[in-house]
Amino acid sequence: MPARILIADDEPNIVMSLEFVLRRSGFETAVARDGQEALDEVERLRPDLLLLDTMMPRRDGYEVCQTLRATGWDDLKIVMLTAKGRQTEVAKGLAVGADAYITKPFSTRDLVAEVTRLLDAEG
Amino acid sequence: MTPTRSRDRWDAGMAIGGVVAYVVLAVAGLVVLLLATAGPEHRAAITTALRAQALAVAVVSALAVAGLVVLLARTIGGPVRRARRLADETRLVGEVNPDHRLDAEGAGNLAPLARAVNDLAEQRQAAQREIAEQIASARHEVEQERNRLAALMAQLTAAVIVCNREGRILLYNAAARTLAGDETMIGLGRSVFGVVDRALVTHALDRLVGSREQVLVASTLHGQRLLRVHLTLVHDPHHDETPAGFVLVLEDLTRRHRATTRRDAVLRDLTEKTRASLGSIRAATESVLDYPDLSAEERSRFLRVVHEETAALGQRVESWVDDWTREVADDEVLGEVAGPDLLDLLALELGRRSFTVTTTPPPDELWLRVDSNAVVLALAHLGGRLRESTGTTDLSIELHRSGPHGQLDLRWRGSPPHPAAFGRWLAEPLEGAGVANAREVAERAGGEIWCGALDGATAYLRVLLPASEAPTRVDSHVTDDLASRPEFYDFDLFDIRLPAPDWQDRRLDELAFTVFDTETTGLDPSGGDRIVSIAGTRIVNGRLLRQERFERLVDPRRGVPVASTAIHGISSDMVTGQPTLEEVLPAFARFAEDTVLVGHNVSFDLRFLEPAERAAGVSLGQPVLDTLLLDAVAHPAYTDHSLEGIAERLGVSVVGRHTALGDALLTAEVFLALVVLLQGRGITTLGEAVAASRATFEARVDRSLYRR
Repeated sequence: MPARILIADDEPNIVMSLEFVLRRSGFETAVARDGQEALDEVERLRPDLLLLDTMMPRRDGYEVCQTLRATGWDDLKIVMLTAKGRQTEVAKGLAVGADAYITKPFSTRDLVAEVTRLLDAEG
Repeated sequence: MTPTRSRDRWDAGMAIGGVVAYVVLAVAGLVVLLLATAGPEHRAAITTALRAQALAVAVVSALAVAGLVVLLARTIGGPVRRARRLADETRLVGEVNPDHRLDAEGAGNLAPLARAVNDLAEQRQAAQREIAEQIASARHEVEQERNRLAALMAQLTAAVIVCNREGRILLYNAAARTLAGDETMIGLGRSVFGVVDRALVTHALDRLVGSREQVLVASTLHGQRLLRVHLTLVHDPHHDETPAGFVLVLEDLTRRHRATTRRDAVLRDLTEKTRASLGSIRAATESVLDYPDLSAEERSRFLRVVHEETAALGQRVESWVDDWTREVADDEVLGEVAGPDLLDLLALELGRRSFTVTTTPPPDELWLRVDSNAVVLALAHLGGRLRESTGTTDLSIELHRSGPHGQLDLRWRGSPPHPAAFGRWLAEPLEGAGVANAREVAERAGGEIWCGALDGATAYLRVLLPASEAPTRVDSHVTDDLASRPEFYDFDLFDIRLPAPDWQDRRLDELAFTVFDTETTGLDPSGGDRIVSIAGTRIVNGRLLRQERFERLVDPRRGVPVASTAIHGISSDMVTGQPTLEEVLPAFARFAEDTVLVGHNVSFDLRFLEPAERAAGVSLGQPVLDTLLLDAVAHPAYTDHSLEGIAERLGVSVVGRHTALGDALLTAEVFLALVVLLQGRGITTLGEAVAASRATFEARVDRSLYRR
């Protein structure tokens, strides 16, 4: 069964490209537009990996990540995507429970490679 | 002594005369009584007897009259005389000798007056003593106030210079001195236009119509520093139209300016390169969109362009982020705080808000660049919210180094707050921080803030901040092993005028002097000896300003003989590579500008300076005084006019001889003492001192030594 990836990002342009690339790489995808929706969709769809943008309306990525980890979602792979690049943010992301952290602009090839690595490690 | 003796004789004479007078009067009275009471026969007999002895009668009568006169004189004249004497003595007490007291006993019946005068004299003396004490105490208070002001000024981090209306510096502090950099430019009595452009100050003064304060952006004469200069007029309380002077507060904007310039450069670079990249991308994408009939290969080419340009843009953004993190380091709201200090501040504030706090300081040195007030307020606020939601009152605060960061934790037993709630707290406005909320405080410092759980039992609130470095200490030139109190002010200079064209009439105690000394390779300038060290110090308004000094080692461009090194301690290695005299002279000339040069056996030093003056295009044209000659004027009877000899004679302590600076300072102290002595001989102006020096010089035997 193909792994399911939930993409949580409020920028439609990046979502479009991500969905395209991930589907072409053999993954199933779903999309959430803000932090609250991301939490709801995780409950509903039970994805294997969450691509989480840090800056979203209603709940930011760190909050979502922290909430998920606190509510028992320990097996879910979480990759944080961010437009800022400060070291302190990377440290924070990893501290709140992200498995990986990628800075925009990133290469989709690299993203797919990272996603594959994380999902394979689990399997 | 003599007046008293003659007065005593006079008194004795008077006393004898009085006795005679009494006796004669008594006899005459007896005769008159007999004549009056005797019967007619006896009367005739007495009259006949008297007539027979007419001469005797005449003499006795004369004596009687004289006696009466004497008696009168004694009774009346005595007191008059005494009164006159008392008057003289009183005048003596009043005008000449306040300690003298009238002799009440010898004043006879004028004794009460004498005693009254004495009492008045006592009162007067007491009153004068009191006045003198009050003046002394008032003077002491003023002195203390001035000292306090000086100490205050010295401690200010802002650079302050107070000038009189002609721009002569009356007061400056250590910060101003550090700012000016070049010690030849800033000093009491010096023109402030050596530090700030004259044109700008004049312009500012022109613009001061109506308002009292003015802000300028100015530059120093050396053009290397960018200063913001605040200028305020000081008004003379008696003449409201003409200002007595002005106050300058200087801010060094150089760093900030440099930072802004750097930031502008980065922005400019970013926008230009971004524009260029966008241009390429746009062109490529439009080609693909507008021409659907492109071959696959052509389309690929355009898309590769887009790919390349976007990758390049991405890299540029990365480097700009790095630059921006460095810019945060120049933000002047932030300051370096030592880790333990920040913890202590936090503990203090939390304690005030009734938390029980335990502190664990970082194991090694850790500095953070933060707005410490804002960080403490933010964390205290979050702590308060924490207490409300979890009831926690015991906090442990710790600071650790985590890679390039400092990790500041508030820890407690319990669980972390819900992320959503914490997110809300971060957005709440803080009182008194000047920054809106806790999230912004962290952002401003270039850090992050979040909560988590260490394990099941302990939770934390963490602030992760970039670690910084210990700040560089502000270099303080003020610490001076010679001066106990830096002399940075002289309010008497408020009234100083620019030197009159004619130096001759200026008073020695008002002029400014540069006292200097040189060390050389030997005694013969025309035989190849050269200067190896030159030093000077300043005397302004009768005070030796020890920390306004000039001190340079000079490369003589030749070897330094061991014999001369033995005297002044300067060896060849010490001077090789130092500036030459031609290079040092212009700076020395600036240092000595507008002053009279003073030295000991100064013509010796001047002979070494002359050739270099020509080569450097500098002319030390000011008047010169020689302490050796001045001592010859003040103490013509002595033969030892060496510096040590004079110093010992005048009671000046000799410390640190045979360095140019040490000798210059000693010469300066000797000079000050000589000025006082010369005043006692009626020599008060420069012209008089020069004339007296010349006269002594010409009278000296060893003329050959002083040929100039």
